[in-house]
Amino acid sequence: MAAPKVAVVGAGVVGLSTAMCIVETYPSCSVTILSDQFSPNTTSDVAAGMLIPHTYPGTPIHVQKQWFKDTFAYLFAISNSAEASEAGIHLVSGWQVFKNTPKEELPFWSDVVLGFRPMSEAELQKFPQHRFGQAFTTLKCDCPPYLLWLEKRLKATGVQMYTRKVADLWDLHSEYNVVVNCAGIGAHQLVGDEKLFPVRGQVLEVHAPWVKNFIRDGDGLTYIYPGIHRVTLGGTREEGSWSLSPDPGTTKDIFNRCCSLESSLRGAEDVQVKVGLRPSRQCVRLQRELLSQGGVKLPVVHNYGHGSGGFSMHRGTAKEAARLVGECIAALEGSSSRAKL
Amino acid sequence: MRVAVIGAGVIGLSTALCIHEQYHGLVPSLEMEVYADRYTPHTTSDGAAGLWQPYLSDHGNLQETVWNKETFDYLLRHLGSPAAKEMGLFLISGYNLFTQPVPDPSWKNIVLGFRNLTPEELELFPGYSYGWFNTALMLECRSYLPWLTKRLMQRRVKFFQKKVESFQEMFARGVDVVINCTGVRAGELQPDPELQPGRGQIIKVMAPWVKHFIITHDIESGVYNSPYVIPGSELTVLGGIYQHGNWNEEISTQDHKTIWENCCRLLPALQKAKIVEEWSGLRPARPRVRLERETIHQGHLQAEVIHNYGHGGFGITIHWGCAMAAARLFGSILQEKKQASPPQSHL
Repeated sequence: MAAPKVAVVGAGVVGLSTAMCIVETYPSCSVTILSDQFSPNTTSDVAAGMLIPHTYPGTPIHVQKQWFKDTFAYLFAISNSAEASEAGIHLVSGWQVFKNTPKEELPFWSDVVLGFRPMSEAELQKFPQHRFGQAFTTLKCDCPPYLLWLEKRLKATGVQMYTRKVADLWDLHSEYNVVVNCAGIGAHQLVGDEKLFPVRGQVLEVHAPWVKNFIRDGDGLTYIYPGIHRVTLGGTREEGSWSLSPDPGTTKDIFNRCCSLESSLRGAEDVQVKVGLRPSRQCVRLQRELLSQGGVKLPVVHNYGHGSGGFSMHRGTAKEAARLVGECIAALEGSSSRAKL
Repeated sequence: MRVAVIGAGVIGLSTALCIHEQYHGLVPSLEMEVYADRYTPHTTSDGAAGLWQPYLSDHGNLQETVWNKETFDYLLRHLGSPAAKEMGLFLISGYNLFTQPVPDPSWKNIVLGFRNLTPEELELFPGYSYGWFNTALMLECRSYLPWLTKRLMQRRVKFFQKKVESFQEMFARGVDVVINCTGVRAGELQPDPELQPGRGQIIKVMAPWVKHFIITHDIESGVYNSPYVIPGSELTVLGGIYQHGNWNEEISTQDHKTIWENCCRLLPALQKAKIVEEWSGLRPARPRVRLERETIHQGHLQAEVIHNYGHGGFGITIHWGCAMAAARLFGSILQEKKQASPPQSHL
């Protein structure tokens, strides 16, 4: 098949990185990105982009670990290169603190991040309400820079990007050979996935350039993540809420919780509030599907439902999605050569 | 009781504050003045990045190790206070890199979370095979010196822009105790062959993605002659120059090249950083800090000098411990004066 035409729906971190992996692995493909939103208006733009995975209950741990390892290695190499500042990737060290000792002492990713170890007594003294903690160094992907960097690299390889709201994947069957669905929370409507639900997150972005370390409460609700120019303070995890409007009461609550972890934040300036809907699911939907109507077939690769783990898992799932695209193309070529016989 | 502090760098101002805090209540007649020809942001202290970190070896100066610890603990206590931001005080983590294994430093239990680097971490730094990670403190003098000045002004300490030419000049004005915090130029007040400039040069860049300090060490070339990168609250400091005996405060283009190339090799991401400022300064280097009393006789009068200078490249690191030691010396002077003159009744 000459230059298979692949459409990637969605331009968040998953859509862009999946397109990137397809282009890298199958350079003969013509890849087009279609999305109703591009950076800075995607869900990814709200996320702090910290590489600290969440665990998907429905995916084997060894698979999640491989996704995380792939992502970490990929970003680690960029952070160590001259591209780091443009790509928005940087190393950051800090602490995850627990009020109660966690059930699992060692998370599955403890040997992927750098320097993981329990916090010392002296370090814990800074957190009088917390009894246990872990110190480590990980990576942070700042958005919009990371998405803009991916877009730039994609355009350099000839990938086209169009603002277009795709209402139905089948609409693309006449223009494209394979469709990759990276619609994130949009998949709820796009493919009617009832298992996909929003987990609303509100965050504050503040100017506090003296904050050089991250601090995260092990309950996942309160966190301080220093980015290149601004510090992200979080957050909330509101299951089932579709509201994208910032809530002022929540803003105050987040600020107070973060100040109790890091009192110098009282001096933070220029508070901006953002809301994103984590596209949550028991497991990432990373699989092929063959749509067909009246004898016409459209292979689809789904890659959505990353919930809280979009940044942590993006490259690993993108690689797998690209592999599945390859399978689709091979299947198409197989059937077309059979048709010629 | 008139006290004159000469020098308004981190040593002068902190010593002034420490003495005033401890003794003003006990000695209501205490009048304190600060004399300096250079004030912030033109002092040696202002050029320092502000990282709390002693030299690798204390050369047997255990007292200095104690003063370093006292300073760290004092600053750590202030971290949670509302003053921290105004002081320019914050936590920072980072790396010390070596080309061969080295013994742990005297300060390993003073800083937080001290540990050796893992092989994966060392992959970040080709050419270095051994290293440490720890969390320490930054104290930026561009903020700290104004903060100290404000505290002193609130206490009605007076400031004079003046180059003091001799201790005698102070005593002639009726000063009882001189606190000599003149740093690298202390030799102009009293010759001191042990005091030498340790010339340094730095480049300040805009590189807000750098969140860790990185200090490399080359045992052969000596302290601070190997590249280092220290992120501040606004700009990141690139350095790695230490020239013993060089009094030249001008920027050297050769040193600039050395710093830039070495730091970019260490952190390739820096190639895209914008250069904002350059600075050169003289560390007041001495085999050990001079922190002692000296009684100066002038005819039948005697006046006291407390020397507190020679803090090399670790002035910020050691400043509060030295200030407290200087305050103790001041206390002993007060004690002697009390014993010399009987108490007068004030009716």
